[in-house]
Amino acid sequence: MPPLTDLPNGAKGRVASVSGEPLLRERLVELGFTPGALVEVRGRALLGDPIEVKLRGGLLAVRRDEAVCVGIDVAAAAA
Amino acid sequence: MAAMILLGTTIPRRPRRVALAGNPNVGKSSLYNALTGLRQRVTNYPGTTVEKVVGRMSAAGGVIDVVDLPGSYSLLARSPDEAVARDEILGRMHGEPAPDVIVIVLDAANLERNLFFATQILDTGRPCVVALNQADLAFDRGVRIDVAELSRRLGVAVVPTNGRTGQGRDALAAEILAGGKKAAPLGLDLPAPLTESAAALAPHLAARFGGEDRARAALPSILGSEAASAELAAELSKGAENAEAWTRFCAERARLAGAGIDVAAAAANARYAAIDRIAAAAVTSVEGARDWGARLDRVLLHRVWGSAALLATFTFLFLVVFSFSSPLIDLVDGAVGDFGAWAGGLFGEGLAAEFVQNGLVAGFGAFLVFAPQIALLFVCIEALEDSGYLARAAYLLDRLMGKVGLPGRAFLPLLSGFACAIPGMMATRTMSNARDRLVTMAVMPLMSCSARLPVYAVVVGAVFSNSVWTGTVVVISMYLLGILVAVLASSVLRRTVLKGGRTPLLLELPPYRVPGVRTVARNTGRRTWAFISGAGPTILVFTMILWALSTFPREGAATAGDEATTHAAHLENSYMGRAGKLLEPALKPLGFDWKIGVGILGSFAARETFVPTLGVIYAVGSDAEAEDAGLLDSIRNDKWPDGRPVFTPLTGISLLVFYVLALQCMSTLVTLRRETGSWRWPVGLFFALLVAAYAASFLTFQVGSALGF
Repeated sequence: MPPLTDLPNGAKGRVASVSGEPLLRERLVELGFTPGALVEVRGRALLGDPIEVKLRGGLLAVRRDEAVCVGIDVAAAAA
Repeated sequence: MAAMILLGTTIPRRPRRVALAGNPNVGKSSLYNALTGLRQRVTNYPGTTVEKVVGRMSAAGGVIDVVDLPGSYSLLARSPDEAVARDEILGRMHGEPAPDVIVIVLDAANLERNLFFATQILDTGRPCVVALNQADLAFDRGVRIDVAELSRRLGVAVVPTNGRTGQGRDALAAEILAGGKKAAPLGLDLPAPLTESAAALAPHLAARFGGEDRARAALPSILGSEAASAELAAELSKGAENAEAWTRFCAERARLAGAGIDVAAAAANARYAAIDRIAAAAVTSVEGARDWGARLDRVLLHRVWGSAALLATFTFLFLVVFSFSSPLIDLVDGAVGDFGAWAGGLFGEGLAAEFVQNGLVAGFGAFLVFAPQIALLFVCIEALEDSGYLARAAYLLDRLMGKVGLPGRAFLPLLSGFACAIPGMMATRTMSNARDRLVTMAVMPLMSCSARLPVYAVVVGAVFSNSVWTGTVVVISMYLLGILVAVLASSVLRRTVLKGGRTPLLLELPPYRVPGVRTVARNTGRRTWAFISGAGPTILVFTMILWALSTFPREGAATAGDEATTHAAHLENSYMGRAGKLLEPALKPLGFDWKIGVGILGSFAARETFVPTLGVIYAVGSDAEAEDAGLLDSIRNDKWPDGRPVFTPLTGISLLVFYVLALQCMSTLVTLRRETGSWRWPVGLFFALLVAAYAASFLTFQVGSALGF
């Protein structure tokens, strides 16, 4: 599954996996990056980092360093 | 008294104590301001720098003390702020009773993520009331919430509120005074091994969590968090009565680790699934509502337009702190000066009058003069924060600031530092990570603040007056030098004292809204007062000490001569003057004589005093300004005993380098102490920068001399 960082602006997908250090991983899932959750990449800041995503009705800015921990299933977005 | 109790009239009852809990950026602060009156108590939680804000609310049925908790995303705390919120909610704060009722503030426009923390709190079984805030904003975005259904699903009262208008205040007070409700734990669909573990442990931990069902509800997320489960294991390992619970807890952790399930994700997923069910029943979305926020974001987060907007915003902010505040500062300065002269006049002539005017009243002026800058900066910051733009600015600048190891949030405080380090340091309060905040505050004094400008002006005026361009290049180089050293210092700190990678950025971009005047005004007042009451007394004492050092012993006054010469003689013979002479051998390699030494020593109170001190020493008068021709001439014509001029261009550069690097500002030191909670940082930073300044000036002068300048 490609990481969230690979999604172009405007693309949608569903969270497939969350990896990384326990502390980071736990916070990511608590903020809503749980397997199956719908994610939409809304844009990128200056120099392409961080990434702005729409998740569970709210907007979140996530750095590339953290966003690579989120694996995305692009094909499942339509479902 | 006894009669009163017998009559059964008014037995004074302890006010109800409630805590406002919720995610960051849910309008909690506006709601708090709408609920409480003007009187509030601001302290720090013991052993932390987390602010504790308590206000009082008078309602029809009684008095309520409201504690505004720091915004949190989860009961599994990951920062000192979140730990404070957790301890208050669970009633574990030392030396304090548990809140009678928890008011959970929900942002109606971002209900799902808000319900994560909210349902965690409801699961604890503490008495709760839900305030459904900003429903008007959600309505505009096409979100319709069935309040009765939400209340039924959550198991507690839900009161629609609006922090801007104060709507819902009375209804909320009534629910609080009724004591709130304890919700039943939310049923979660967890993987079998996790349900089994929680069920097996619950009987042993019932006392710890206030009931078996509460333990069952809390355990899955604790088991999913390495930090939280390690913490609980450590707690259980202490008491002998917990031996059984501890053994079992460790066993279940080991079993789950072997079961091959992602406990953290499973626990969070189950909670969000339950939240989705609640939302499906209580929330409907109307299609076709215009999403103004998204439209605004298309401009404000655009690469070109967004950058332009950012630049415009920060230019405006900088002007506010740098220029717009100066009439106010002059006003305060003038008023304090006039008052000092008047108050000194009451004591006639002599020492008592001098003490009142130059020690006591000047000491008050030394910190009051910062109040306008702090207040103006915070009006802007609070308004930007409340509008939702500040989070977006932090997002846009994150990468750029990341190059120097700081988060985007650090930009605005550092920019303010170019006007004055004190409001800049206070502005770091918008940064949630303690380590990032410390680095930002530590490099703050290297931003060339406005108090250095007169020093730059006097040096440029004395030795670089031949060409406007040379002077300009010199001054700009000094600004750049400060920035360069700040970048180096930040990366050194990141690799040593404040080791560790960058903290993850998971920044919520809240919905846009019009800033609340009340919230902005009250928060600004709170910050400004915190500085005046917190740092003021120490600054006052230091000012008086420095006054005494530059006044005593009083010798050399008897000689005939005009007033200015007498003052110069006084200063030369004071402890400070003597210290300057004592230090001259150490300062000579930097190109400074004892007179500059005294100017530097005096500057440790505040850099602003450098020019007036030189004025006194050169017997021009203490009211000398940087452009004063008499002062500039005296400086230019000053000679070493062997006839060489003291003030060569090289001496000037060396002096400027010293002033860029040295932390000569006790108000900054006192503020740093206040913001970090100990003297460790200010003292360490003071000496580190002193050594750096000395070394840099030494190198400048020695290398420059060797090269024949």
